[in-house]
Amino acid sequence: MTVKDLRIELTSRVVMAQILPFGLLILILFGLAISPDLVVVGDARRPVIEEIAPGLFWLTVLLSALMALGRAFALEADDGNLDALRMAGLDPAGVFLGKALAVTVQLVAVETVLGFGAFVVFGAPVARPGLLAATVLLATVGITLAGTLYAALAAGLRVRDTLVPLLVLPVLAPVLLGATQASRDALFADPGVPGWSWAGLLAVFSLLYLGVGMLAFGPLLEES
Amino acid sequence: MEGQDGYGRPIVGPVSDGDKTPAGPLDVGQPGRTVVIQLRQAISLIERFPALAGVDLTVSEGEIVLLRGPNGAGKSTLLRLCAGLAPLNGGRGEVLGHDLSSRRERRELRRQTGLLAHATFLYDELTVEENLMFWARANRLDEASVEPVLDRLALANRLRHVRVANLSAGQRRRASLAVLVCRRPRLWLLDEPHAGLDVNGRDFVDGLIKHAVAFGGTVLLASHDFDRAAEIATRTVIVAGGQVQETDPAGLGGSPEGRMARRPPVAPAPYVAPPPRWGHEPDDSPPPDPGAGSPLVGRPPRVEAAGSRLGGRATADPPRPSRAAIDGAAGNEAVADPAPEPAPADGEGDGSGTGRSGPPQPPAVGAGPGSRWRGRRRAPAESG
Repeated sequence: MTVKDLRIELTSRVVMAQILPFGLLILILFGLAISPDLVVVGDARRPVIEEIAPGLFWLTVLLSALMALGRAFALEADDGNLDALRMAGLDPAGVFLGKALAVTVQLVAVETVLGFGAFVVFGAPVARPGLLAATVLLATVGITLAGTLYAALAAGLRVRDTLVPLLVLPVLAPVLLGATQASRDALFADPGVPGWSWAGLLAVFSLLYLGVGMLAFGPLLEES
Repeated sequence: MEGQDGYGRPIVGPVSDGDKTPAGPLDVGQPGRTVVIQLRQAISLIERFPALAGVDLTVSEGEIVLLRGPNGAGKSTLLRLCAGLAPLNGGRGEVLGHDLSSRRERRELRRQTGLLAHATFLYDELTVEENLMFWARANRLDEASVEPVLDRLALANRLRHVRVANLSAGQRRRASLAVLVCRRPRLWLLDEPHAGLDVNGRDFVDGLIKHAVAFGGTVLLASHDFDRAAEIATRTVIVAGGQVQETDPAGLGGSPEGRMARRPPVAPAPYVAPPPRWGHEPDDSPPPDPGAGSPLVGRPPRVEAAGSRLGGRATADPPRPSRAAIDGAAGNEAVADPAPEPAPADGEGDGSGTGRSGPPQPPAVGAGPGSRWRGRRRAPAESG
């Protein structure tokens, strides 16, 4: 499943040619919308854009992830492939993990490029690269596991394109919060922000949706 | 709730006293054959619309049943129900020994059926070969089985590396057929199998259907190409308004126009259809080895023996053609059966074993006592 999805991406290049430019465009628009002259009053006196850079970055990732998830299940919904998957008798947990892994790989690639873009646009330094890497990995896994589950829920519906954001964004609010806080600590080594604790929240979230997804994906695939 | 079918065979219906399901008249399967599909007042909803509104249908092993009816009659939903894809919302249904009301059993059923639907079941971005390889792996099939299928469907050369998105409609249909053949189902559910195909492709589909039945398969097809489909069908069922309106139990010409000629049921034992090849080029491939299976259909997956709750009998080992039958199909003299049953008096077969005009009348190889064949040929008194 993972190999098939990645092979389709290599052929179609939807993620790299459409979703990635979309993310970069959003970053640039954020950069244009927020003046670099605005400064947060306080000890650090960092520019506002630098202060909110982690949140903007993860918001961009979320929007890109929505597109990637929609694309991943559009592949299956088109031409009756969901029915074919059902008829193949594949283990639903395996399908869930396979799809989530494929989206994770694609999203990590997107985030890598977006990270460089964010560095250019927002100019934020990286104080704790280890924490940043762990945050990126855990947040991405959380986004894809929860997103895959809810995208499967809407996969068989004609309104899936508009329904998936409505379902997924509220669910991913804890990921946005945790990833933003952990990234702030990773970037600025802010003593007031327990970065690893927020990373732990991301890990718990991922584990929760790993379990729920493996259990619930079968019935969802059945009903979609 | 027992009665007799048209052959004097007892009909064992829903036996529970508490069963409130009305047991409508059953179609007649083939006597002595395993019942593959048995539906009683089956209801299937698409959202809240009853696409099937009380279907009664029985199909026996080795039958080729043509579903005929207007658009929206419920033919596709009936095929999806038999594939385990559409839900059974009312009534009773059992396919290949699996209860359609059980979600778990429907999952088991799906592995043994093959559905050719309006959708292609193909990934547009992958090549034909990549699609077949993926579905072969997904169906836990040997990847080596893909190559002969590509070859037989004339997909082995130029088209194998072409993305499905770039194929014509007929070529896509051919690729879908290839995936279906790779699955090697016991029950073939074909929704408009001739649609979008040229004459070569239609001939191939017909050959494939006969070949599948010869190797123990059962076929349920819906087609608007009635003349062609009626040529190969052993029975026609008229579907309208989500119900089976009319059935032609013994191939007596059930169409309202009376266009369908009398057609004896296909006898899988003595007749081995040669594996079809796409196109008209001469086929010099040897007849299939019954031990190794057909290069196309192959050995149907083995299923656990299980008694049917609706009166059918599941089989643990689907019928296989005998060596003598293959010799007969190859034009050689078949090994004489010690006690051949009489051929149908009304048979149209020419004895060649290769024509369209129905099965030949070779000795009923393997049909005697102790044979693995469960089927028996109809005696003249039984026919009609």
